[in-house]
Amino acid sequence: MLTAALSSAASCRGAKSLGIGALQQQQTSGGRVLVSRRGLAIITALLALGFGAAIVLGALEYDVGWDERGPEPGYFPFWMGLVVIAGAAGALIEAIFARDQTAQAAITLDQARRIGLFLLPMLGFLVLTVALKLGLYVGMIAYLFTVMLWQGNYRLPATAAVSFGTAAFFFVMFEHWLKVALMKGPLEAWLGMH
Amino acid sequence: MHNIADLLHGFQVALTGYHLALMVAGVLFGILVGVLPGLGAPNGVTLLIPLTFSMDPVSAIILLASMYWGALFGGSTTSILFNIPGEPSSVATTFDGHPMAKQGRATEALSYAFLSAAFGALFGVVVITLLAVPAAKFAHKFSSPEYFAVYFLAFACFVGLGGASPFKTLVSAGMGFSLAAVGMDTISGSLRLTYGLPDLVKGVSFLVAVIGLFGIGELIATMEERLEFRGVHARVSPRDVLKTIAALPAYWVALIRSSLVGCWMGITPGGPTAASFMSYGLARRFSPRSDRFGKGEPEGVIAPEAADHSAGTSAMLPMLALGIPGSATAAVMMGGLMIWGLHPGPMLFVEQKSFVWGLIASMYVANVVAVLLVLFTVPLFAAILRIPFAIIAPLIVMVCFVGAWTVSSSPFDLWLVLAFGVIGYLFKKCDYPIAPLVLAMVIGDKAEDAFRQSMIMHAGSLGAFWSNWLCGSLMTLAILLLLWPLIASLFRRRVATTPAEMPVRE
Repeated sequence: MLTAALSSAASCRGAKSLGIGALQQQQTSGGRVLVSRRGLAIITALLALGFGAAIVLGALEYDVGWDERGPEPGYFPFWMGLVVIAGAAGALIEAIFARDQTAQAAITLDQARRIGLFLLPMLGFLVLTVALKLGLYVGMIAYLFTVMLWQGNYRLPATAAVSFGTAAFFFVMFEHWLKVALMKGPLEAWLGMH
Repeated sequence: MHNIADLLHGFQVALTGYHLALMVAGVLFGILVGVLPGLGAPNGVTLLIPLTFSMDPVSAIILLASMYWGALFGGSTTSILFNIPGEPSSVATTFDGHPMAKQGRATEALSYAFLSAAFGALFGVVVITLLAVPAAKFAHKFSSPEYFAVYFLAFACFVGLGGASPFKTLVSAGMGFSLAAVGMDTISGSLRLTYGLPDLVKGVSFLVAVIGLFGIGELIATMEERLEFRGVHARVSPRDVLKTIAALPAYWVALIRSSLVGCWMGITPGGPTAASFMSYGLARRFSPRSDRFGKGEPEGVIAPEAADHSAGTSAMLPMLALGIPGSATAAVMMGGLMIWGLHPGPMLFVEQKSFVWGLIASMYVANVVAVLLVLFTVPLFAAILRIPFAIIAPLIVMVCFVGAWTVSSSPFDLWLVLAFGVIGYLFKKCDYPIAPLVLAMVIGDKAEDAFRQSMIMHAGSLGAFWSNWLCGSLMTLAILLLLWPLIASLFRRRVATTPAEMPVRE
C-alpha cells in the first residue's frame, strides 16, 4: 500500500513537471531575460539562508539549551532557524548544480516591468495608508484611481465610479453591516465619520 | 451504531433554514473566490474568519466549509473554460478539460468535472463518517509525546511524499515554525524573535500570512503573464447533465481509484493539489485510452476532479480527530476553530458533539447544494471573468488588504501582507511548497508545547518519543519518511546507472 502510494507520488511529480513545462512555454514568449531560473533559485535560497540566520540570532537572545524543566525559550526557534539554514543550504547546492534549468528564463524584462507596475501602486497605497496614516479609505481611492487611469487607460468617469463605489461598498459592508471599523485617518475625522 | 445516531443528530443541526442559507451563501462566495485568480480557497476562508468571530462555532464552520466546497468547484470551472486554474488543485483539470471545451464539449467537460467532483467529495464524507469515531478513540490514547510524534509525522509526510524538493519543504516548514514562535512564549512568557519591534509582540498571524502568500503572491504570478481571458462560452442544459450522469458509471474504476487516492492524500497531509496530479498520472498510466490523454479525454477530467474533492473533504478528518489539518485550507479552518475557543482533537468529539456532527452532516448537504448551484450558475460566473483584469486585480488587492486589517486592526499587518506576497511569489516561482509553511504556522505553538511537555515528563530525554509502541512506531515511521527522498535517490541511482549511460559527474 505504502509503496504503491510512493511510486504514484513519483508519477505525480512527472505530471507536475508536465504542467509547469506547459506554463513555461507561454511565459518565455517575450522579452530579454532578467533572471535565469538558476539565478532566481540561488537568490531565493540565499534569502532563505538569511531568514534562517536572523531566526537563529533572534533565538540567541534567550538560552537555547536545557534546564531542569526541559528546553528553554530559545531552544525551539534556534533549532527551527537551523532547519531553515540546512534546507536553504541544500536548495542552494541543488540550484548551483542543477543541469537542466540554467538556460531557461525565470523572469524576462517584460515580466519584471509588469510586476513592477503592479507592485509600485501597491507600495504607494501602503505609504499613504500606513506610513502617512491617511487610513484605508483614502489609500484605497487613491490606489484604484491611479491604477485604472494610468494602467487601465480608463476614462475619468468610469475610474471615479469604480474607486468611490468600492470605498462606499466597503464602508457600508464593514462599518454598518459587520460593525468592523476599518482604519481611518484625519480626513474621516474632519468629515466627522467615525 | 452510534455513528448513525450522531449523524442524524448532525443533520438536525445542519438542516435548519439558517444553516442552509449559510451553505448557499458560502458556496456562492466560494465559487466566486475559486473563479477569480488570486483568490483561492485558503485565502477565501481566511478573509471570512474575522467575520465569524461573533457567530456560533457550528454556523461559522458550516459557512467556511461550504465556501471551501464552492471554491473547489469554481476552480474547476475556470480550468475548463479558460485554461486558467482558479485553484492550484485544479491545474490537472486543464490538461483534458480545456481541450474538451475547445472541441465544443464544454458542457460535457463541466458536467463530468462537477459530477465526479461531487462523487469524490461524498466518498470523502462517507470515509469521514465511518472513521471519525475510531480515529477519535484512537487519539484518546494520545498524550504529549504522541501528539508531537503525529505533528512530526505530518511534516515528514510533506518531505517524503510532497513531490517538491525535500530541502525546499524543510525551508518552508522551518520558516512556518519560526514565524509561529514570534511573540509571547506560552510557557515562559518571554518575548521571542521580536527584534525590539513592538509590532511583533502580538506575533505574526497566520491569517495575514495566508492573505499575502496566496492572495498577493498569486496575483503577482498572474500579473507576470499578460493575462487575457479567452474563454469558451458555456451554458449547461439539464439534458446534457442527464446524458453525462448516464455516461459516468462507465468510469467507475477511475472514480473509485481517484477517490481513494484523494482520501489517502487528504488524510496524510499531501493535500488536494498533490492528489489531483497523482490521480491524473495514475489514470493516464492505467487507462486503455491513455494515448488520448491531454487531447480531451473525459477520464482526464474525472480523475483529478474526484481526487481533488475527496482530498479536500477527507482533509477535515485528521483536523477534527487529531488536530492536524490535511491541507492548507483545513489548516486555516483549524486556526479558526482555535480562535473560536474550540480545541481540535479527540476531545472535540466528546465535548462538542453537535459541532462535529453538524459539520459532517453539513458536508453531505453542502456538496449537493454546491453541485446544483455550480451547474446552474456557470454562465454567470464565467461572465465575471470577462470583466477586464485591470479592474479585477486592483479590487482583489483591496479585498486582501482590507481582509488583513480585519484580522487584528493592526497597520503593521498591511506591510506584512506585501512581504508575504513577495515570499509567496518567490516560493511559487522556485517550486517551494507553501502548505507546510501555513500548517507550521497554525500548529507551531501546539507542536512546541507538546515537545516541551514531553521533555518535562521524561526529564529531558529524547527517549520520551520511544517510551511506548504507539509513539515509537509513529516516530520511526516519520523518520523513515523524512529520509525517504535520500533512500529513493540512492535506489533510483542504482537502477538508472546499470542499464543506461553513466552520469558525467561520477
